[in-house]
Amino acid sequence: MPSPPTAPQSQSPPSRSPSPRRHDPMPRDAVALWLESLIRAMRLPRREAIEIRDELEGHLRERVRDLMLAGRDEPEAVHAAIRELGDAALLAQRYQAASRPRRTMMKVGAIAVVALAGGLILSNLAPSLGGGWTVAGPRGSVFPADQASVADPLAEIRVSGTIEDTTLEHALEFLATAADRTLYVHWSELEDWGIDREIEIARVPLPDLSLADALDLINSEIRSDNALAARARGRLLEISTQEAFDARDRQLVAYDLSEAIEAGVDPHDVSISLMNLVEPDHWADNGGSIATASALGTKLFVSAPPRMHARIAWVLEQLTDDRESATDPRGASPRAALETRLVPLANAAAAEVATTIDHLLTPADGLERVSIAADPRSNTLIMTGPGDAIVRAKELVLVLDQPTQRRDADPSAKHEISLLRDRLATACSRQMRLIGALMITYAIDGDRWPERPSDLRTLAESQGLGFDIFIAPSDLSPEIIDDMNGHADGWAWADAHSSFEMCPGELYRSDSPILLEKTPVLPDRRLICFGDGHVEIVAAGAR
Amino acid sequence: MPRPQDPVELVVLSVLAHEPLYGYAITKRIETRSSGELAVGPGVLYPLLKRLERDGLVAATWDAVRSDRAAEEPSPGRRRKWYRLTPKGQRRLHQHIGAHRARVRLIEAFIGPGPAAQEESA
Repeated sequence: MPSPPTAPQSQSPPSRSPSPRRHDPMPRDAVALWLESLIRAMRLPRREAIEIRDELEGHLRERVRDLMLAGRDEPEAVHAAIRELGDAALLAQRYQAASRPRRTMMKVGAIAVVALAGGLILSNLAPSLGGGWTVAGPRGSVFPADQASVADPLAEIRVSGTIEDTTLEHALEFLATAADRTLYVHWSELEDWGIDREIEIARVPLPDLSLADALDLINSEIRSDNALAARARGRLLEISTQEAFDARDRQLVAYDLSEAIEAGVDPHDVSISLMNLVEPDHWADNGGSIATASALGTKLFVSAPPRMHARIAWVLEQLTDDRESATDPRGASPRAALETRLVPLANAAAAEVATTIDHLLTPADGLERVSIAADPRSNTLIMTGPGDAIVRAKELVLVLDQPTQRRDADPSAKHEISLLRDRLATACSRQMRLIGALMITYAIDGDRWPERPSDLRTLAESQGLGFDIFIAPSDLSPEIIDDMNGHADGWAWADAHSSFEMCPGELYRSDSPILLEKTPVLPDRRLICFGDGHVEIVAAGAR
Repeated sequence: MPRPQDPVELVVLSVLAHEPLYGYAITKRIETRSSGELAVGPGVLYPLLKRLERDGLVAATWDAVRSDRAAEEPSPGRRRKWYRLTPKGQRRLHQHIGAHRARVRLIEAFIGPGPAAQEESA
């Protein structure tokens, strides 16, 4: 690195201050003591701790000097500078969190033991509980174990062999080959966690282990706890971090609290209880980055991964059930009991079916009280609601889970998607995928977009997709655009709020990475998807 | 994990996009450029810099502090940690800017553009 430019500030130490107090040893002692307590509180390697101490000592030195130049005396300036840095223990915690890859979440699988208003706690799950149904007893209920650990495809895939003297990249390739899967690694997401493809792996024996166990061993070998996470989708094995998978799978669900409110429950208390009961570390209000909750009127809006929604729905059910029991001394519920059922899907993607079903639930159907979440790992729907509504919702799911006609089944088939301006990008994407046209959808978060075009190509090919059109985030870098223009017939992209804009030919390129500002909207274009998988963009009225 | 909605990260990356700076100079630069309206406290700034460094968004080097009186002479034992934006950090900054502008456009759809934008269009 070239020599840094001269700093705008001078670097006079506090001892050169205009009026040092000869008999007041407090300032220097205070700085030394504060730095010492910070270093003690930080459990970091010595070299790292010394660097932090040096940096903060320099900061304090300059801050004290500036405060003294502004008219404060030295002890006052020292105390003010230290106060700005805050409590040493708290700062040490922040440094700890920032210094290493953050740990991933607890593994789902433990039985959640939940105590609600009544304070009832059950510690064991009766072995006879099965089928994914919640169990409400006279004294309390327990989150069902098989709902907590939805069947994990990774546990079913077995691998054998030995990984020895290689890099993480090759180790993962070995794992995928042994599992007979096509590998796609989200390196950019792993690198954000400080996990590099060149990390060396000495030896990992794999004596006929499940893929999940093998990944645990690799995590242990690279000493990053559970940073690596995997997901199997058909023949594709994806590797990233659990946090990245969770962020990608987040769903916004509106929970109806009207009954609880009628019974005198404060909605804010409900959201606080949820943040304490359901994976507390992951809520934004608790310093996490996965889940958020907002109570508005009679609704509680929660954005979280599906596995958390299953737990949230269960907690809220208990709340309602508890209130009903309290108001009815005989314990008889005035309404049908809420039930939870898991529905594994064979053909359709669970997340898409969940969205579709969600749109279809109307009061007229009597289905409005069914909450649905999808678990993409097992491609399973988790539905909670009254028994009769669940049965009807399941019938709907089975219809939507019929096998769809894939590409090359009818090369002459032609499907037109019109009114693009009025459609959500995701809905458009879903229609295109149904007929086998290429569609890779990524959210606006650029980090989910493969950094290298070759990664994108690998991903597309591994899923058996063509290369005709992409839905791209609106903030793709110019370099990627440049490279990818060679591979596409047309371009479409979704903005942060899922409106859909498109233009034919080359993606507009400018020095600015912000395409949305620079690209003209062409409302007169239509997108036509053909049965052989290719896509054409034509002017309105053309055939 | 990236935090695209983190305004402090956006501000710090923007400041470093102009030139390499050390921690205290970053705080001063933020104050100057915001005319004193914005201050990022050291208790937030330094852990953030640590995270940005860990994530490869900034790179850091140590350099000896030179005293005022003898500009060419390094002060014995004193050094500063200088931060500069990496190519990855530049990409992240561009993502931040894009997301920020998209948010602004969204809100302006409800409340209308600010006085500056109205003057431009007039």
